[in-house]
Amino acid sequence: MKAAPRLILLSLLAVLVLLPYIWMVSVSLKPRSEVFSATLSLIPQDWAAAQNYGRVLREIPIGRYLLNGVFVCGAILAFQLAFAIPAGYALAKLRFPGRGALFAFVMLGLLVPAHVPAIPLYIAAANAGLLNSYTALIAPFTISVFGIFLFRQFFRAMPDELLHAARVDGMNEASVVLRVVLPNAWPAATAFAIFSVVAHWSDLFWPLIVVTEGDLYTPALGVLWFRAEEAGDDYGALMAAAVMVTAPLVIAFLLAQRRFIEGMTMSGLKG
Amino acid sequence: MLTGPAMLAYLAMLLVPTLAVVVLAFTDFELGMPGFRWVGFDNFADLLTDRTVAASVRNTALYVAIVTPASILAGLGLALLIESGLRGKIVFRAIFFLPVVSLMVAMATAWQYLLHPTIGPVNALLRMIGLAGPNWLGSSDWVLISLGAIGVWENAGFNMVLVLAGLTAIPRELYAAAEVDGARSAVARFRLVTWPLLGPTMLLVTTITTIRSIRTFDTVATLTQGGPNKASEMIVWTIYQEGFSFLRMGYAAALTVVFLIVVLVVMLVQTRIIEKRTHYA
Amino acid sequence: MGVGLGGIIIEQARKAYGTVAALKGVSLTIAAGEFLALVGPSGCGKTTLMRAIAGLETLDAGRVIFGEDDVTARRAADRDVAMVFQNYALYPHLTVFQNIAVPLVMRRLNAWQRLPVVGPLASRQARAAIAADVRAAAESLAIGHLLARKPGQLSGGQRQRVALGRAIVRHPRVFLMDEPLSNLDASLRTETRRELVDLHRRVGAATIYVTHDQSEAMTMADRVAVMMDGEILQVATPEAIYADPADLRVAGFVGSPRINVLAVDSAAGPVRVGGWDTGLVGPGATHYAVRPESLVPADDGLPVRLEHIEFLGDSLLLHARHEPTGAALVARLEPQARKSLERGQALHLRPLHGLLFGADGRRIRSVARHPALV
Repeated sequence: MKAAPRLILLSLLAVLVLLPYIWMVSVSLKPRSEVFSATLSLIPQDWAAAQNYGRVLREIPIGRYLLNGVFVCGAILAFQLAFAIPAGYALAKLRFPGRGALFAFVMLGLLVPAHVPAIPLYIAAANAGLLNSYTALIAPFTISVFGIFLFRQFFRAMPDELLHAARVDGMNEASVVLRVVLPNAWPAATAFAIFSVVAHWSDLFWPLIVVTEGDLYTPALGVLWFRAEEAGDDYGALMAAAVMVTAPLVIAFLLAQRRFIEGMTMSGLKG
Repeated sequence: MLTGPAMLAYLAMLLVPTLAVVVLAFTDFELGMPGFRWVGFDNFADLLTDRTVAASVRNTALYVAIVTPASILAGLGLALLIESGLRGKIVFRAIFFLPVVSLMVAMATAWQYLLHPTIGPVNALLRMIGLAGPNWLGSSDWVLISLGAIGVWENAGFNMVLVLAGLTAIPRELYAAAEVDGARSAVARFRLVTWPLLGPTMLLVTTITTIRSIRTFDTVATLTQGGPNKASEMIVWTIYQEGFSFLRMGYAAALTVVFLIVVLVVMLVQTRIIEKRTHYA
Repeated sequence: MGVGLGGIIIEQARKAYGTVAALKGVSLTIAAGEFLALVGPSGCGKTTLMRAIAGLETLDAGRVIFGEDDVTARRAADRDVAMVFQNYALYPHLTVFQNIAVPLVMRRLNAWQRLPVVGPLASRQARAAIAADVRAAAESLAIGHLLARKPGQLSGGQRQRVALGRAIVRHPRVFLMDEPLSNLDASLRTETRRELVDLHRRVGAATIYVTHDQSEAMTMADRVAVMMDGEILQVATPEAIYADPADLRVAGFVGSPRINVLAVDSAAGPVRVGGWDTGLVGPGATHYAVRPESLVPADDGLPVRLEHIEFLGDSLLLHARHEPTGAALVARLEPQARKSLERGQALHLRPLHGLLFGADGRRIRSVARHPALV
């Protein structure tokens, strides 16, 4: 396709895709009167950033919500890696009876969408008094069948000689895992990390179910609550909140695009 | 062994709960009520006659029917546009991919403002050219379409990236061969080389988008809560309502089982089709 | 002017990628039905030149003429060339039959006739003719029995034949081959060389064969064009390229083991190397080159010390060091000579025939001072 029409078309489509973002930021800077004037202008006439963002910062513990998000996603990722890397390694490199069957059995888990185990997990959490706890938010996601699959594939591709050389050098299995396997798992780990963090930062379903106390709200819940309870029709503040919870991942994405796209493309394999 | 912790977590968080859901589907369990009974297939029978469930299934099917082809075509179109030139690839790829890394609840809220019937820019624009825009999210005629549009917006970038990966896997030489063989137009080259070699990718994209569409929850929960009048009721939202608002867990479990079966069928169909077509280099 | 309908003329072709000049004013003439090998090291521009002839690249300057048609502005699809790619570029989703048929389908059927279901109905006759041509081409390459298979099910040699079939089925005006043998096993390569030359005779079109392997070029071609750094250094028959190179780089590129190159003592006067009088006169000569098979042990000549002897069965390679200049030399001798030679030995090697080159690498035609000395 010729250069100019292509660029024009792509730019138009880009604007279309960016519309919500543009307006989100724009409204977050406008005072109430302008928001309700149904104007098409993006630049606010009166600068209301302090009001809107101020209201958000004052009335809802947005910092807390963001920290919750970071903590929960971080913990989930840590557990996922801690479980999936050794399991993937074992399934790829170690020989033991029933390995094939175990792998097939675990892969069945890929077929099950995340919402399916929700009800019994909730019942169990309720009975154990674990509702409204970080444990409830983190535990169900510690198993990532996709992670096991990913690391197994990755380790399979790793040459055996590397491990043999380490063993010949006198390392025991644990050292082999720590000193040889883990450092080499880095690229797969980062891609997986991105996939996991993006998925869980945005997750609404499970936090909505298990958390009713404000202290534990994840960013997604925080926005939902603010919208439903407090904001009323103060779109300015609402958009300010939206900007604040969306910004972290967007900025991280813009800084590390390639890695992000790699990670998310992998999730495509999961389906 | 090394797989120990993973296996434990797998059993506790995935396997046992999934089996439990299937078991629950045959009971009339309600959280907070003492005891429960086996009711056999009663829950499933009730599902069939439940108006809400019927609306839910119909809406989900409609939503999937809109969003899946539209977002696949959008993804394909964007990928082809980006690949067909030299400039700005990284920038455009980043822009179209943005929705994938954005918090959906927040973006849904932004969309709510955009689509607001009185103060939203979309209707303001329409007013400027003399049209009266409908109540996009508040009218039962338009709500599903609006959610669908948001769904396409959400998925197009993701599909684009998958198609881009598929496109870059096509050997450049094939295009040179096609040119020498007489494929003059871009359409001819697309038919001879691009489309056939994108086959597996397009299949993957279709399956993924279908399943993602079936699982839509965030936009419904944030914007419409199934309304107005069940016009945007969708499967996962219904499960949520039944199970966690009304606490009729046995019933919600039955619906979950149906949901699981649908997803499994979609994946099965995909695997079958792939097996049939894996006979090339 | 012109080379007849079947010939190719390239005039002053220039092509640059950014600041890198891939073609620096290349001119070449190929006669109708000629087999020309375009040979040179990686990065010399031969692939760029071939793609420009095919129409896959546009030239920054210069012309490409087929017969009497200036095709410079035409795209590949309109040039009536056929090309065999290095990795064959077969359509993986099509059968062998369909692969070979593609050029015919693209050119003989219009867009409507190519539509999936209705197309075939509207073009029975044309398609039958195409099928006949495809079968004929396949039979001529002994792959008629593979027509229903897909490329993924074929061996490397079979895939190459399919690529050839796709190229010849159209009876093209110009035939281009891009390193077609480089992906084959060594044993298959020598056999296929002959077959390609036979094929060329049958097809009769002007053929340009690109390769980095000088032995392929020398054994297969009517004429060889040696290319380096975006320029054609010499176009001549293999014999002339070998015995009468126009440039030091050509001399060094062709022939195995490499030609021996020694520095000339002084650019004026009779040519001496390390004090020894070569018997030649060539003003401005800075390099003296002699082929390994032209060096014979003798009483008089270049004084060397033997460092290494390689026995090849049909010949003997001596690796020696020229004492005065320290240059490394290789000589090729009869296998029987082995008996009288050993490592560390000092002896004299006399060149039977030497070539002179100047500081810019150009060949300086030498004059023998005393015919008796040479």
